[in-house]
Amino acid sequence: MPILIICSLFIAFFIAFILCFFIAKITSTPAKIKAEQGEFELSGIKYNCVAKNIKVVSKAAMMYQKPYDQN
Amino acid sequence: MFACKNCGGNIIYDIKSKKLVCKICNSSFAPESITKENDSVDYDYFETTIFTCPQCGAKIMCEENEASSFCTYCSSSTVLTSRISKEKKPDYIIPFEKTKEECIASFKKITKKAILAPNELKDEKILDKFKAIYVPYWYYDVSQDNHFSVSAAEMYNNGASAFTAYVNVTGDINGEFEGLSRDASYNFSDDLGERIAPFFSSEKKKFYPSYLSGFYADVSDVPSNVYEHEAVELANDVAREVVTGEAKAENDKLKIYLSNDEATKQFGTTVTAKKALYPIWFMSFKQKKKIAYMTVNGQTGRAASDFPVSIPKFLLATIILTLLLFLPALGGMFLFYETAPYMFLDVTLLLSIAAYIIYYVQMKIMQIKDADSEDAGKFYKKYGVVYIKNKDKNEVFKKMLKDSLWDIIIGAVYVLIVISFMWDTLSILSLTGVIDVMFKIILSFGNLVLAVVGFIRGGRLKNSSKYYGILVGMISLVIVLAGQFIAPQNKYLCIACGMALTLGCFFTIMDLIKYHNELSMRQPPHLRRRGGDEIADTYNM
Repeated sequence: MPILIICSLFIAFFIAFILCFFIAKITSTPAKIKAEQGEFELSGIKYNCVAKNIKVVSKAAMMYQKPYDQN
Repeated sequence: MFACKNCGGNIIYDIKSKKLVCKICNSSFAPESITKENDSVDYDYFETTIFTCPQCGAKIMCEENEASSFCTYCSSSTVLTSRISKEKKPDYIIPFEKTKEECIASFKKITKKAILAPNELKDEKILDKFKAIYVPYWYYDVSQDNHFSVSAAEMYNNGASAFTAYVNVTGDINGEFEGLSRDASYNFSDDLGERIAPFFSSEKKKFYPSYLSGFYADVSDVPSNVYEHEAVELANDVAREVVTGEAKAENDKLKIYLSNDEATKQFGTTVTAKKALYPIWFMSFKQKKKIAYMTVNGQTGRAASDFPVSIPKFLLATIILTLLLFLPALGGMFLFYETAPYMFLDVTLLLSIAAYIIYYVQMKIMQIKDADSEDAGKFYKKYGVVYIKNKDKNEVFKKMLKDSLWDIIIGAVYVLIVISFMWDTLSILSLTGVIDVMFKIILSFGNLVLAVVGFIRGGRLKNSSKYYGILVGMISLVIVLAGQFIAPQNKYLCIACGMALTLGCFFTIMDLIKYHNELSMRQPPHLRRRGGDEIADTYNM
């Protein structure tokens, strides 16, 4: 019986400090949101960007046949 | 000091009324209406007092004498040297909108979640040390005005064949971007700056020195070119999207390919940088020679900080969880009454795998964080070149894959061995048989490899040589290996090995907590040069 108690105590202690490590990491470093990942974000700035007189002019074309489907 | 026009008393900026208020006669003035004698002579410069901390070397502007007894950056209670200086006027300022009470309330919200943070950070007396600081920022204006001609492709697919038509998209672009900001102080990390962003530039005012009355202001030391490319890149990204949207109105199959450099050329993107001062509530928390910075956006009230972990709190939480988990663990062990010592070693070995994988992965993450390689300001200071982040997701993924190829291969093999071991343990074919012993030897050796590689990585971290918990972990793994070679059937040796593994992993995890604390706290930037702060007050955690 003492062996069981000692073994259980050590296993409980092992699981406990690993769980505590995760709790410590999660609660002490707040997760970053997308806009915070090292890039300028558009909220907070004033901007206006307009494109006019758009024309699409053909240059060249290329066609290829897809391989015959065996199935 | 700014003098009251009515009684000559000291007037300071009042956040609530947004006016300069006299402490003596309660008169109030618009900041624009108050100037010092010398300010009117020189429009580009203004006269202020620069305080220099003899301990850390940080320089800070202030109109009040209060600054002469306490350094905001390194928390030293010391007499700061001061000199009158002429500083170049910033172009803009965003005045404080959040009062100290509102700042503390915002900060308390994030400390509630940090349950293992030191209690001092929730102490009203400590929170009262929040100081209002104007941090220098670069304020970028980007404009685009050009006739462009860019390549695009139309792609069709009818199932049997695919057709691609290459086209030119031409047009005129006109864009104006105002208020792209980045901090211009080495003292202030990009990471914290990004986490309390954004600042709303619509609230900016033309700078008048009187706005600084009653506040501190940091001196800018990061050149404007450090972040220019980021502002240009954002404007180009937006313009590319606008052009694509317009072109798709003509043909929805169009795809435009345009690099950032080509976009700058085609859209005629130009950038101008202006200096601005942004409001930040700032507190430094000192532990030994390191500082944790607590920050709150003085305009929006958004708070951010990397909290250190309180070791006593961590230990207490571990004890409480141990007591809670003890009975379930005891119940589990009863199921293996006859073979409990062998099962104990198997379970601790499985848990140790988790612990050493955590150690291995965390050391890699901390190594990246410790190198400060993603802080553009610090990168520039260290290497003298502008840090350009690779935004191409494919390129980033390929680099990550290349850097971590061996980690992935070793990890995959290790996971297979662990799964086999778990199957072997759970099937209870034999807890002392040759296969089980072989697995234990392989896993102990695998853990030892993870521990050694993690330790070598740790050696590359600054100030990491003093942490030796992982060495206890390594010794425990050698004990387990020896035990399996000497007498794997000896139940007392199995229990001793299991206990050694547990303690070894505990000290290893404690190393990670200490590393975390090391990295969540920053060394004041000038401290190393000055040889350290020997006399500053320290708070014991």
